[in-house]
Amino acid sequence: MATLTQAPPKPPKLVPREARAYPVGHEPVHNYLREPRPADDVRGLKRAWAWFKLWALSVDHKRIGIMYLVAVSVFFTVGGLLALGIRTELFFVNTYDASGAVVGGNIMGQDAYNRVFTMHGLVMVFLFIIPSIPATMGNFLLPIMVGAKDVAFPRLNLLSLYVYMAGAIIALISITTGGVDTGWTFYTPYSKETGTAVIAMAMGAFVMGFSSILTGLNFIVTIHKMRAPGMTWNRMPLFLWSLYATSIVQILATPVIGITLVLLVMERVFGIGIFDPALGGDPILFQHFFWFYSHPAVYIMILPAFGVISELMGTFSRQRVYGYRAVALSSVAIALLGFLVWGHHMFTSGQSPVSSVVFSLITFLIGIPSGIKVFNWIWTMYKGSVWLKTPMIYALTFLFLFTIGGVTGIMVGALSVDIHLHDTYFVVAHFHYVMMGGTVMAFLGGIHYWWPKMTGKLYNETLGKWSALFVFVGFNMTFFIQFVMGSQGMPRRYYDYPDMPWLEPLHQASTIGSYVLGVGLLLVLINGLLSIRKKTPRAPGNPWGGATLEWTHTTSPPDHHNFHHTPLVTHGPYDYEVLFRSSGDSQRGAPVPDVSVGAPQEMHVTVDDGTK
Amino acid sequence: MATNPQITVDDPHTGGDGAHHDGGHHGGDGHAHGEPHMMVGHDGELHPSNLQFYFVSTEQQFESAKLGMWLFLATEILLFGGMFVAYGIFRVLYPELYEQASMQLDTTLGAFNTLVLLLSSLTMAWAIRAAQMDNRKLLIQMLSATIVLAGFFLVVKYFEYEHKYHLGILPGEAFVLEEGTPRVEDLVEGVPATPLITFGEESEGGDGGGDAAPAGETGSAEATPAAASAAPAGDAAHSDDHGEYAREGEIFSNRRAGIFFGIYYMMTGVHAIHIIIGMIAIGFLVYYSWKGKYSSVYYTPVENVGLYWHIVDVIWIFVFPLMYLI
Amino acid sequence: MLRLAVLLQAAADSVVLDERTSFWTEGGSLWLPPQESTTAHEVDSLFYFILYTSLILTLIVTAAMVYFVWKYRRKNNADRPVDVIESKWLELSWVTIPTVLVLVVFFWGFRSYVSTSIPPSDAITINVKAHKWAWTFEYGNGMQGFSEVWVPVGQPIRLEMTSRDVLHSFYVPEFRIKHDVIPNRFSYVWFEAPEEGTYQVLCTEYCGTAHSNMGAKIHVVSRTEYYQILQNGPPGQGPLPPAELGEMLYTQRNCNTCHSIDGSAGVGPSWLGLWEAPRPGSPQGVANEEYIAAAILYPQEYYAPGYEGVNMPGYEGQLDEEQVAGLAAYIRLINDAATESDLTLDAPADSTGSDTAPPAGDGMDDTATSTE
Ligand code: HEA
Ligand code: HEA
Ligand code: CUA
Ligand SMILES: [Cu+2]
Repeated sequence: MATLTQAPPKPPKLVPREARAYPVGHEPVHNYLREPRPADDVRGLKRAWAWFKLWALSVDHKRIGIMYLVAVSVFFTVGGLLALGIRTELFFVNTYDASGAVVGGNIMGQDAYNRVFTMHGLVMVFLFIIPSIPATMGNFLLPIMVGAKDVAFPRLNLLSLYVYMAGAIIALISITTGGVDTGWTFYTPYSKETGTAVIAMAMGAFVMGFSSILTGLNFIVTIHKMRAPGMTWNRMPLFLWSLYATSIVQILATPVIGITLVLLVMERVFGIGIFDPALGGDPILFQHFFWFYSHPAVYIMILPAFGVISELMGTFSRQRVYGYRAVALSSVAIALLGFLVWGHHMFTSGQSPVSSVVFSLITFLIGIPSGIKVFNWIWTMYKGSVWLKTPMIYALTFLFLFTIGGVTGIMVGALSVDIHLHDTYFVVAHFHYVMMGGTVMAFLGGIHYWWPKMTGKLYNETLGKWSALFVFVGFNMTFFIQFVMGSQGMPRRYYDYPDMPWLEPLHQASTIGSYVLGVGLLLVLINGLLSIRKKTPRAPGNPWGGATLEWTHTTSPPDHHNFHHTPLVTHGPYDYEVLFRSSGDSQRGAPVPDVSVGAPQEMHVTVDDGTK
Repeated sequence: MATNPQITVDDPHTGGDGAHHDGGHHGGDGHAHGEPHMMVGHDGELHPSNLQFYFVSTEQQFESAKLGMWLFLATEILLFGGMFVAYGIFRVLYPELYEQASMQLDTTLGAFNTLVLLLSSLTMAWAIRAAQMDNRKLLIQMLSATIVLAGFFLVVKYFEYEHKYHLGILPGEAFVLEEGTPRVEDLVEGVPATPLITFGEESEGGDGGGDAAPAGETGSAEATPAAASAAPAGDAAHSDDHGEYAREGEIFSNRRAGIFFGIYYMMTGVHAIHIIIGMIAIGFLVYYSWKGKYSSVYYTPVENVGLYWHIVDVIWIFVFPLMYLI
Repeated sequence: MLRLAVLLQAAADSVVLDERTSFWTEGGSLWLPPQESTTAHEVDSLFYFILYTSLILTLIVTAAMVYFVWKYRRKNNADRPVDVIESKWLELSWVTIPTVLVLVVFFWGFRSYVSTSIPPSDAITINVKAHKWAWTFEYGNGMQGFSEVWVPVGQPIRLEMTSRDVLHSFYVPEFRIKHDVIPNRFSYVWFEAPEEGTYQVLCTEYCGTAHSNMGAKIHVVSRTEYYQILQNGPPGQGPLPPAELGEMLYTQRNCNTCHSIDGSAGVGPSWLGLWEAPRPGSPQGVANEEYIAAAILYPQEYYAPGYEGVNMPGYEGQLDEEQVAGLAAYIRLINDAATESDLTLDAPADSTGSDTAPPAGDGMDDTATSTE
């Protein structure tokens, strides 16, 4: 094979010391983190400024992905701290004096609480979870995985980052101008009457919608038009399939929330009356509009997570993902079915009973493709070689928690049962199981998995496992109890529970759980920060033995144009067997080769994969 | 392994000088003047100057841009789709009222504007043709003509808005059209403005639509017996609210009519914003074609803005009959 | 285990507690509160069916996961996967079994939805008005109950509900009923309570500041007691001296949400120091009896200085003259300006004073016009 490529001339002076471990000619000399960089004679503050500009104005999808990652992590922390505020407030049932004034058991007032949970919901949904996986890992990996040098519209990609930032800032302004206390659902007519910051918040969400659309648009075009030679649809990694399905939803659903929010703003500014019953308008119509976006939006949140899990299950089982086609197409099926079920949020709202019945039926149908995925993932481990590293632990956590979240979704989808459970903590627990237990677990798993690719450094495995343990225990303690509280009748969005003081012990357990969860997440953060120190050794190009292009054809961290040569794809994304064969050790069962950046494997780097 | 000898043309690091501080641009915006020409990328290979480094070929780049545009247009349609749905629902809820409200819109001006927009679509299509034929002068002329027509549309729209503003035909709660205000058509035909309807102010405690006054229309075809309109389904307003809405089917001083105009202003307003954005985009096209950026080899922006412009027109084609005619 | 046995025993006894005091209730279970309506069991049986099916499914999933992780764990650096041919039967089975299950659940849910949502024809109707942040119940004879309602045992009751301001939702966990309450529209729920007792109503649609305090009580009483109440008015709401009536209303109608009585600032002005405080909107220039009454009924016309634009709900049509006077008396009381007549029960006002309050008025209008 070596004769096939004309070996590029070796530039001896340019090889950084750490890169010596790479095959000759394929050292990460153009590491995207450092390249492009300011000219050598720019020094001091000027240099810092030059660095800043090279990052902030970079159209490199990898740099954009990293900037997104920093932003969503900050907002996740903000949203999480607000959540701890919620939980702390609910720790004690309040005590009242004779006149009915609160004298104890609270840390904030009613209005403050209402703002806190609203901000928690809005920050988590619009600022964190919707951009979370697509904009960070999607941006970073999608072009590499299809074998392209960038997304189709790199400048739109950068624009989407700034649009997102602008939206986030507008949204945060609304906090300083009084805060929003409508709940993240903005139901009219309440949202028409309450404080004026609603306008800023709605506009912020509207603006962020553009960013989401731009990302989706970029992804669809990139997948359609920029696949490397040999990258057929059936050879695409499942992460790409799920991003593709996500993008469809982003493009088709986001404009509707856009116009809904604009109408809401107009309602407040001019009183156009469409949603205001006092003017003859229809508040239920608002709910239809809102959920027409926001239900598909939950699949914007979960589909990318499905993709991450597929990658993790494949690589860490060293096994082809079972039922590849079924897993790929079920993403698309979920995306499309997801447009037809929004009414399941409105069973008690007064929509017509007939539509409730139809919505309930279609809601159940979504359970089927979801089930296909779950079972296929589990069967992927069958006769595989399961490697229990931190990312895999998060993936297994995902499987467990998402199954619980999903089946409780079926529970609230059952008409008569939802009458009892609607707007109670049961629903709160359901959606935290799917959002936190689903998406966030996949997010954490994916971040650990691709951390060496993104930063060039390995995190600390022991610390990683500890953090996963804390997160798992804390999460279940916080939210499993909420199922019980909810079915016992605890309504959501309650600042206090004066009418059901007997729930206090349950609330307390849940609150303590949330602290444990917080510790776990803090460990994740610490682990990440520790790993990017200078003295942490560099990660190899393919530490996990992955078979997708980002592992087989790029260095860690990748080059700023991703590939030295446009790759030619000759096998599926999970054909680990091919990796063995290509290492020339097919018969002897040698380890999966470390780096194979399009060059003949003259050199094997043995990785300590912890299985001695 | 996945190594292929054929695919090395775009390796940016072979034979180069090693240090590229170009922020990721190989081809160049702003490098292109006059006829498209080839540029030497730093891989030493020839690229058309408008080909971005991350594309393999000009065709790929063109197709990507076009697919992107179509997807964007899909979002536009959904954006307006939301408003069309709102329109449809209220139309079903308050059919009589909407018919009356629709009469307040000036069909003549609306039809005129429709023609203007159709014409502008034509000039836009012509501009694309001109680009394909490398006729720069015609291209600039046609693009300018499109802008002028769009401006014309906006001016007419302005007069429509202004007229309504003076009558008090405002959206939602600001709606104050007084009884007896003549319709636009009456004014045009010079029919004396007579109070169309008189009714007792009393309606407290009345039962539903029963107290709706008989519609004494002055010889227009659209005599609408308001009594025919029962309270809309699902709207079981309590007895003490009937005073407010009892005149369902009658537009004057009826707050609900404000919803129609709320939707009217929203739809036409958002549409007008799209027209303005289109004008700006076409303005840029004029500038760049004057600079000679477009030719039969590269005219993707012209084509894409053209697509956008057609969609904006098509939306108007739906807005016009829904709002003005039925 | 013992606890479970006790619970099951309790469920069989189905003893009704007046009010819940602990999480482990008699008649309830870990998951659900006691069943206190005739339709509750329909909801519960489906709930348990899905719960246990889900539990089994989750266990299967988890067990398979744990087994595979163990069985196929990587023992050696060079571990090689075994090529697995996908089994059509396996894939088919995990498509069909869930499909069958969800269809069962759907039809079950659909059937119980229909049978729990259509009220029997012999139901009595009680009107319910929701407003920020309390419930008013109105009987056919004009009697009203504030945050409390009395219904006869073993009788289907249909509630005809509407809201004066924003969305609310009427929820009684023990009855398994819930429905949003919408301004300008009527919505309905019905229930039939087979046992006497007192049950908690909760508001489950977010409605602003005191959403969590918007409770009410449903008293299920014997038929005779019910007729007595219909004739003589709500028990415990008999004649009270004005100041005491005001004190009761202060908490009952959630005035305390915004107005303190100790001078501390709130959403609205404190009632301490309010009496005879200067008020520009008052003809006499100070807050007196008349002014206070007017400001309660039409708050948007009488803003206290510094509180302009605060969206207090208007109580026109919700509080009668006697009640407004009671509130004024209470304000006098906390400002040490109470008169003799505030504290005594003079003319035995007919106990169903609410009779005279015409259930009219249009609270919503206040919000609409307040922008002027
Ligand atoms: C990531 C986000 C996410 C995801 C993926 C889901 C997934 C699902 N959700 Fe959830 N949901 C939310 C986020 C999400 N939801 C949020 C945020 C809310 C509340 C909004 C608010 O009011 O604030 C909500 C509320 C909500 C409601 C309204 C409850 C109420 O307010 O009363 C309903 C009702 O039907 C529902 C149903 C479902 C269903 C059926 C699924 C399905 O997609 C789940 C499918 C998955 C499985 C079923 C598990 C795997 C399958 C198997 C192991 C096979 C075997 C299964 C069977 C045989 C059934 N959700
Ligand atoms: C992505 C979505 C998401 C996530 C992740 C969470 C996470 C959490 N949520 Fe959230 N929640 C919502 C979305 C989400 N929530 C929504 C939409 C609502 C509805 C709002 C409404 O009703 O309008 C809601 C409502 C809601 C309620 C109900 C409030 C009410 O109805 O009154 C509660 C109560 O317990 C709660 C608690 C929590 C807790 C304890 C967490 C915890 O999981 C949080 C844990 C996180 C931390 C403790 C932060 C610690 C982080 C660090 C230390 C840094 C680490 C950083 C990195 C790893 C990058 N949430
Ligand atoms: Cu009323 Cu919540
Ligand atoms: Cu949903």
